[in-house]
Amino acid sequence: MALIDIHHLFHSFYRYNESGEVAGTKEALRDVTLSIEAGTFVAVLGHNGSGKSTLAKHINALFLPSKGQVLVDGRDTKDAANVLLIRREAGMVFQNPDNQMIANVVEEEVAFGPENIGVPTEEIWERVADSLERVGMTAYRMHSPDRLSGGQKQRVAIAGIVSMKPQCIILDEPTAMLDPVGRREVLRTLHELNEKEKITILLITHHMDETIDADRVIVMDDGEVVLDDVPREVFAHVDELRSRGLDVPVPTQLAYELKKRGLELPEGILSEEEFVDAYMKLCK
Amino acid sequence: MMIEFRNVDYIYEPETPYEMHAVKNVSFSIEAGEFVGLLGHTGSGKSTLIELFNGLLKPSSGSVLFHGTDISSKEVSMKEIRSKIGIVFQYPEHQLFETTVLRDVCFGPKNMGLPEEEQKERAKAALTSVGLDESYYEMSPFELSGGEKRRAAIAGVLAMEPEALILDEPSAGLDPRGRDEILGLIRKLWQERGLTVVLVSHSMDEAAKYAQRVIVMHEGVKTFDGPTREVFTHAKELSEIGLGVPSTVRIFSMLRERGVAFPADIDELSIDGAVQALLKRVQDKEGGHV
Repeated sequence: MALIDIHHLFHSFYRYNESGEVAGTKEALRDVTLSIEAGTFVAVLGHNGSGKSTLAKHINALFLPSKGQVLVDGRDTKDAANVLLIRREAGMVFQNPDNQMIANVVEEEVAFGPENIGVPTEEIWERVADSLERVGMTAYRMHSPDRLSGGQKQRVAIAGIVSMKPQCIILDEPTAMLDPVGRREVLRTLHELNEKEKITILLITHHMDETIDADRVIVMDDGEVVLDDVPREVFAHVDELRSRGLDVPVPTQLAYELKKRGLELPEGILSEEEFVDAYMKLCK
Repeated sequence: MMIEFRNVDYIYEPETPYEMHAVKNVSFSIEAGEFVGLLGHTGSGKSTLIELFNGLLKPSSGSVLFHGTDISSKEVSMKEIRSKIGIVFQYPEHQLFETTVLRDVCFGPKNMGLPEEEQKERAKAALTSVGLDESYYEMSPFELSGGEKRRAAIAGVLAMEPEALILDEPSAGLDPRGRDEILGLIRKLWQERGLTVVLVSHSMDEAAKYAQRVIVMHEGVKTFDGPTREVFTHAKELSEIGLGVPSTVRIFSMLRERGVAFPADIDELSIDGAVQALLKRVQDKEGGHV
């Protein structure tokens, strides 16, 4: 059975007028059906307003379906008795690191989660040490979070989730406010957690370059899933991605433009190295 | 010379344990009408430089000149400097506060002491130039989308009719479509009004696409300063200081390393330029010219 099972999910937002009547409806998700296997690294790509954040919040039971069903590890998010368990299994990291930090010291920040779910004190400290190790922030254990860089703060936020031993981490544009160094740090941490700890990663982003190394890329537009495949296949749809307001990797774009003008290049070029290798063959 | 930095140093909290030498002996000058990219990663000193541009910070030593006058001197009106050199800070939409979009944009001109009629005229002109029409005037700023909010905030600065616009990562947090819109708007303002633009960014791709000239900061020191294309030939040094070069530049440098020659005057910075050069190289070979 898949870790996350989404069946015909609809989500509507309502706008109310001053007397409390519904003045407008927006369908943020329309008939989304997906299943995500445990241990995969999945990227969800889409521009603002495409529904990708709404989808993420359903997996964490922050939103409940207007119609349809979401199962996390077999548990229905609609059943109130499941909510706490679901949030423990599927932890969430948000865009702005400053909005998530609550403690004065990094180790307390990381301990907050396990403390809340009633882990015995001694084990809390073990988990804190272990989680900080996994995100490479051990050296900052006694630091104040507000003196950390954006990338470091996000890694502390991730450690805070890891300390609850979840099966899955959902990240909603975790790098949107970071510089290139911070972005690389966070991405590397996520791939390590996925490979070594087999934690399922669901990365919501609009940076296409962050999705190239994912196992699977889901592209959303206007509340629907429009592409869902391995990165190589997804990025072969250059025109479609661009018309949906998304970028494609530069090497992919170059190969696409050159092919259109008659050069013989293979399908599915993603990296600069692949492009250079393919182009060299034409120069021989 | 419109804006000139002469041997500027800035030290935060000097002579305390928190002392930080953020800007070290930086000199450069910017001519009216230039489009300059100011690049550097977090902690490089670029944000400190922004605040030095219009006197929000005063240099610890050295001077900042605007049209030849030291902006720290007593005779200079800070109010005037700040209306002439407009700064759009990061996430400027966080600073929207008024009840309607029009009133928010009027705030700058109002502070300049302009009569109400002129405030409104300027605000309307500024909103038009960022692509927000009449239907937005009476809306609450909080009803706007992220990209619209950001354009409204930029209008707030434009309404002061500045000569120079300094923008701190104007595309931060926007999706590709929003990013292209905002940067396209800035380019349009630069082209049509002859505004001087300083685009502060850590994206090399943005600088490559929009700026004529690039200044690179690293650990408080000005490390590179020159025409965009020339600065990007230092691919190795740039990636060592955590900046990197645009993907197209890396591809050409990899190809050259492997012995494929390209003329020196090709446009490596844009996709179109790269496609033309790559195509021509193969066609020339097929035509037997190599």
